[in-house]
Amino acid sequence: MPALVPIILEALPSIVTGAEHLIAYIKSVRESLQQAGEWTADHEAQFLAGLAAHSTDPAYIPHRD
Amino acid sequence: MKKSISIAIIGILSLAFIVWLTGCAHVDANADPLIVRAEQTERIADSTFSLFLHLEDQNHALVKANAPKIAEFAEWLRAPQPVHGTDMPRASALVYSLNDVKAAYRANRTNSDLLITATATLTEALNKAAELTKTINASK
Repeated sequence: MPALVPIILEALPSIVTGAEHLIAYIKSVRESLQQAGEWTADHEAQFLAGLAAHSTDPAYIPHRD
Repeated sequence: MKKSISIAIIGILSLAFIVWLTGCAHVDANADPLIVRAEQTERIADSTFSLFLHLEDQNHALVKANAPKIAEFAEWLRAPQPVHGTDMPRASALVYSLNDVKAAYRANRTNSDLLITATATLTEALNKAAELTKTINASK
């Protein structure tokens, strides 16, 4: 059983990181599908700011390999 | 990698469940259905690209070795594109592009065909991201 501890500790970050993005994804899709009206100007500005912010997200930066 | 991929598969299944659950969501009488559909597509595309790119990034070496087409598509989404005088990853630029078409349509309510086409184009790209995620699982 103790031998499992390092494996679990090694896997934990990827599970947590993946879960974080998955939860954000599900939440976003759910909200999108429940949308009944057009975005307000504030909502749209917030969304576009989020798009622009991806430029500094490491997952959106090309790999040089 | 398997854990992350499993999470992605759960996400896709969850999406199918959510679509089923909210399939009857209505559009307000005073809202333009084309605009609402474009905005839904923008947000779902942004979320799908985000999930896909983060999962690929976390497993990049393995994905590149075992499924190079997926790594290639991820890099295509990451490639910088000019948008309003600044560079953005293509994943963001594609969404921004639909938003621009939507804004033009909203301004004069003409050329709905262009908005429909732009929405369909972005839908195609987000479907590809989802499909490639499933391909990873099938090839392992």
